[in-house]
Amino acid sequence: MLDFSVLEPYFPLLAASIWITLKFTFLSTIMGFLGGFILALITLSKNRLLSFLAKAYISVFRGTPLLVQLMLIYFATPQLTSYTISALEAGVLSFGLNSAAYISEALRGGILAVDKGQWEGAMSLGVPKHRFLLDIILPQAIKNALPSLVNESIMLLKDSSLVSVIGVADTLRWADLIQAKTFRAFEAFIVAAAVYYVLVMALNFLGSILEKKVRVSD
Amino acid sequence: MIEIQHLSKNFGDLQVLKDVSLTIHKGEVVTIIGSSGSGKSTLLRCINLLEQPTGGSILFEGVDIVNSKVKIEDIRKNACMVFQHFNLFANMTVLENMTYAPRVVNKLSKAEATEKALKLLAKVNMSDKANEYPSRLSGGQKQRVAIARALCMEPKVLLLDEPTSALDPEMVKEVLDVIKQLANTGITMVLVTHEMGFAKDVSDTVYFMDGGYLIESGTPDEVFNHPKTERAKKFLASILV
Repeated sequence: MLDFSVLEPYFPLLAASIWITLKFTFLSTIMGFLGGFILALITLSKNRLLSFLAKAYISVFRGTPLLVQLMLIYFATPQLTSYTISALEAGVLSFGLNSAAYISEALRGGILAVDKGQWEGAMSLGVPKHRFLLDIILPQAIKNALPSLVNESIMLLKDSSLVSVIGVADTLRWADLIQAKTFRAFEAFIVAAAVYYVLVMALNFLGSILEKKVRVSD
Repeated sequence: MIEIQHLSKNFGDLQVLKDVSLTIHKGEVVTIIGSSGSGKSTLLRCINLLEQPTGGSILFEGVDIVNSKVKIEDIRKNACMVFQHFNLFANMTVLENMTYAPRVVNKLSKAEATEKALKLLAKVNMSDKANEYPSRLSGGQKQRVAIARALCMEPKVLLLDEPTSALDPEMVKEVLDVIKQLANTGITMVLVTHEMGFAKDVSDTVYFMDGGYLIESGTPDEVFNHPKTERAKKFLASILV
């Protein structure tokens, strides 16, 4: 009854789709981490206006569905700016902006969990704030936040399947296409699910290696 | 070298320092004693601006560091602090802890900073732990490293804030020995402590604080054996049995 052999001609296409999924995840993770780091610093800064803006940003991006954000950016950008945004750009932009909000909260928690004595120790030796934030506080904050950060990367990987909605040929889109051509829904989607599962497990594995690495000072 | 004049510090409605004035000379070993909450630590923390005083002035080698626009880092690198809870950088080894600030602040090369750090580590008997992380050290070992770390900056004054208060009893001596050895080298040192015997032993000048006021000062003999104020007599009677 089940027949996976019908999928065989489409496997090269699957490889390309997986590559697109990975590219999406990678780019939006980078963007999310950079944005999240900057946002975390701003929310902790003493500048009230900037801090308020950052908090408003986080509130909006955590308070609305990712799919809505994706569609807004993809469909409304051409209308408002006359710039034809590509699906890839729209996807990376919306995922990056969205995950920046989550990552900044994880990092903020990680920074607050660093003992106050670490700040005072550095200050008392005359180290400027921008230096010890990078060299002492941030490494310890990342260590504290690592489980949430790995989790966030996993969420991004899975959420990348949303881009199939705006027509990007990612892994889920591949399955959708195949089931339309072969009328084999189960085979197509179960393969897609397996691909995501393997990728998530790989990320998990990388995360545990990273965790061991940052724990050398314990 | 340091002239503190009419210093006051408020935390909200609570005034913890009231009109404190004192002068610290070059090479002097000063201890500040008094009961908990008397303002000793706050006074010490004002000297390197970990606390911003509310009023008064602190002249550091003639420059008013409270009311002028001196860069805060330039004051702190000359007035390094040793804390009750050590505050070693948890993500760095002992050696990295010691070379970090000299390299970043004093722009020493890695080789210069390492050479200096190893010399100081030998002085505090910690050479064999150079590549350990702080989490592997005992309290006494951490504090000896913290002292050596501060000395790596060659500060003009060393501030010690209850350096033995968080230690197990059997580790107090090893830290006090290091501080005593230091006191004999001619370094300027301000020490807040509850170790009265030690204060008596190493100090040139002892200050007694109570309720935010500096109410007694003098040589260890004057303050410990011939206190003038009732409050100081009472305090000393309660601890020096």
